[in-house]
Amino acid sequence: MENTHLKLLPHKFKIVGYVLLVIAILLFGIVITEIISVEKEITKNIFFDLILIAFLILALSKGKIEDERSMKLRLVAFAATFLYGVGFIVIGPFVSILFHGSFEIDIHAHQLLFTMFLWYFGVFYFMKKFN
Amino acid sequence: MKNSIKVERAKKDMTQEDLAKLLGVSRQTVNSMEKNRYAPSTILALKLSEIFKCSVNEIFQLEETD
Repeated sequence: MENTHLKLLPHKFKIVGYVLLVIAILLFGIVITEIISVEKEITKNIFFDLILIAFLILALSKGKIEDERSMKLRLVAFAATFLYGVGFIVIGPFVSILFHGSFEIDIHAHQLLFTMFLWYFGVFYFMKKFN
Repeated sequence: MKNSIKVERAKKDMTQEDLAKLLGVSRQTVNSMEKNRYAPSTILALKLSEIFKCSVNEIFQLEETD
């Protein structure tokens, strides 16, 4: 029987994701505590890149038990994340005008993707637990 | 769509974990199916039919709202 599941990375790739996450957090700690003098803008970019790669690997790696229900929940979470991203961009300026009096939203693409990944993980794990 | 997975499982004296292992899914998936929160695929329905030694129609029944 043909398998209609998404092609995901093997479960062990989660370790790679967690290691990258730890490296990113360590880097963040180094910058905050100023142990080593580094250019903040460059390290900020490297930090966000590492975090996003780690999140991507974690999002695209199989769970311990990956079955058709978890695959369905994954797709629902992806759709919810897409809607969140669109909502953020469309509704964001209106929220900004309420709080800052300006129609422009000051958010970096990195930050948007970061919150989108958090949204994805939140929706996926919430549905897995309670649905 | 309602189902009698819980009844059939009890007849076979199986736990959700046992059934999940036989089906190759997680225990949460079996739990969701039993509580009618998740409608399984045809493949999974056929596997259930094979395990419980009864037809798919005996396990799954359509409701008026379906």
